Amino acid sequence: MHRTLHPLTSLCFILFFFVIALFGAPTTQMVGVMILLSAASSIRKRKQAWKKIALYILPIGILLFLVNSAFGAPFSRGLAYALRFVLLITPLVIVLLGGSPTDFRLGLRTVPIPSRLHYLFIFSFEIIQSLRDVFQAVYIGQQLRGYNANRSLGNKWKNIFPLLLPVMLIAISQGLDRSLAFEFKGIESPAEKIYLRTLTLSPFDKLSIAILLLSSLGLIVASFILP
Amino acid sequence: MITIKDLSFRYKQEARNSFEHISLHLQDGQALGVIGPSQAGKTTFAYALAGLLQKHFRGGSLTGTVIFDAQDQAPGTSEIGFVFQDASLQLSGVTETVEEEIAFSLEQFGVPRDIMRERIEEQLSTFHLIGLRYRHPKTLSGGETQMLAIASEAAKHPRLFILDEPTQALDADHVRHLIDFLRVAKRSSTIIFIEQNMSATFELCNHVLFLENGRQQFLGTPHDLLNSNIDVSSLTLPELIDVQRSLGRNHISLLFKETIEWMKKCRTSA
Repeated sequence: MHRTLHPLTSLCFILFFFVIALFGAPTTQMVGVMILLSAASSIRKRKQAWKKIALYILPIGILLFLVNSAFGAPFSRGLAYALRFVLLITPLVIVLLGGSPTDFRLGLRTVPIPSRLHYLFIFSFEIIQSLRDVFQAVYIGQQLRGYNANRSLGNKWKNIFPLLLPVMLIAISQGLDRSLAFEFKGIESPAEKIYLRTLTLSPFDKLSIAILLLSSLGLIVASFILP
Repeated sequence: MITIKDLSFRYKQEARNSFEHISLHLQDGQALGVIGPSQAGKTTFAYALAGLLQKHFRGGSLTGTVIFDAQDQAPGTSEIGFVFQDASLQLSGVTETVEEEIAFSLEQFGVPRDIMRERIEEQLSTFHLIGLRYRHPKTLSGGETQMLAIASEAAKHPRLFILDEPTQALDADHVRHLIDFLRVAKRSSTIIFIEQNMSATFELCNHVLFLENGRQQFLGTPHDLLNSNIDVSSLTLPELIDVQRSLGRNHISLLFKETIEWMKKCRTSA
């Protein structure tokens, strides 16, 4: 199934399982978990997805089940908590590992939000990387000036805080320079943007979105009508 | 065409002007080299030309006038190419290939897709980036990043192209490519070239503006600067010129062949 999904399809996928978690009956939720597990097996990074599910999601789900079924509480209550947790978290893992940042970025362009907002969104991920690089440089620089990193963990943490101030100052200064550079890149240009590459909604995406939205709506309605 | 009359600027809470009383006239198709030691006010002067001081440093005091094309209206950001000192900060950070990075500003200014593709090819070939087309901008070396930053601004085909120390991260080959490109570009753009690399500046620029402590020490051709009484000890001059000065030549030449001939004559007479 290694199909490039539009981010809107991915969002609807997450929304669908969110609705199952909150409005679905236990049997529906179990079916939802089965669908999720089969989806996890069909993505490109399936090994990583299974690793994350086995190491983080399942242990926490089991823990939730045990805690909520303890002390005479009904078995169904623990199961409901565990299923909800799995249904809320696993779709995020599948979407993150199943798509690529490029698809996401290209897809965002077709969503009718101001371009500034989606640059801000993508740039916020970039800035974390930049801050890490700056921190690394400051850290090495301070080590060369005598900062001893090989102390106890407590001391290490205590000594890290003075390094944060230069990192923040450098980040602010770089932010100002970047804002000037962005101005010449036309970020404020009133002209209608024309992109070199875009990711449009394919018929598969449109069909998937329609099915996922209708199913979500059906589940919500059914949860109110059915006893 | 740019005409600057008595331009001065002082940052907020600064005791002295960053630059003062600068007046010059630059025709289309000319390149102006802005030279001088550190803290001479070169970058601030470039900011003034690009209209950044008026917009982003409002606390400062800017006096004098800058007139473009006989109109009192600065070109828009689509018509100005500005290459900042730190090229890594110039990259958008939101693109994943060199090709997309060059396209970024064209996308913002709504350049039609076919023209955009033409310009990308043009810049990739001019700056020898074809082999790096699909590389992530973050994986490039310092020199390649600098070339990419210049290429992305050059893709706009700016009317006014300001480059702030563009050769500082470049090796000799890259400097040659850049100078070759700018010699062609100055036919259609006015170039402001802020540099410490005098060799590149003298080769490219018709005029040089020598700033020291924000003051205009000299404005004229590189040849006139070297043959004037102005103290240029704060500049790192090319060896060709240093040799002539140390041998006490009265008429300093920028031409290699001419200098070699003169040295041969000196040897013969000695």
